[in-house]
Amino acid sequence: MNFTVVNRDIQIGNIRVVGVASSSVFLIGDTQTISLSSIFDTPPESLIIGPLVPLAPQ
Amino acid sequence: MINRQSNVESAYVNSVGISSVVQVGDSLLIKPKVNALAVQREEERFYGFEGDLSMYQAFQEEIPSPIIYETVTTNFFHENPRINVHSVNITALSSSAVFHIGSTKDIIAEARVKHIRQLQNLDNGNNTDT
Repeated sequence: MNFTVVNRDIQIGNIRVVGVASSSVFLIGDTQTISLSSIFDTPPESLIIGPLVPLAPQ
Repeated sequence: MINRQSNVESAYVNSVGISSVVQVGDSLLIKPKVNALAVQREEERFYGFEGDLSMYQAFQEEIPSPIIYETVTTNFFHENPRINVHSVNITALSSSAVFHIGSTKDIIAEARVKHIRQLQNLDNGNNTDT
């Protein structure tokens, strides 16, 4: 497969970002590869009602 | 590919959090990784010896990478080899986030967050636990 990109003028004024989080990228420039992965686990079992016992003690 | 030049007049970043990167200038590889156990408790309590991450599957699971079946031939023409930005204002970067002014080759970021909420058991209106 052939992929052709023509980059013409880019003139940006003001950029306002509130948050960049959990394996995210804000890039002003060029790159070859970006690989971002994020695991976010909040199952129903993660709500523990009971005595405040230590979690996974080491 | 020949990289373009990034011109940013002014940049402001309020806070950079866990395993995040702010890079000004070119780079080759950025590889941030974070494992977080986000615990919210009804009572403020920190033991300091918690967090054996091998106990949770979210930190063990292997993340599959995409399989590339086809070779791609790329052509880039930079009619204007500059990226001009007047100003950037970022409130916060967190959990393997990257803010990059300039060009790079590879960015490989990983974030694993396990959320747990611990509430106290209320038995007949009395706290059974302390």
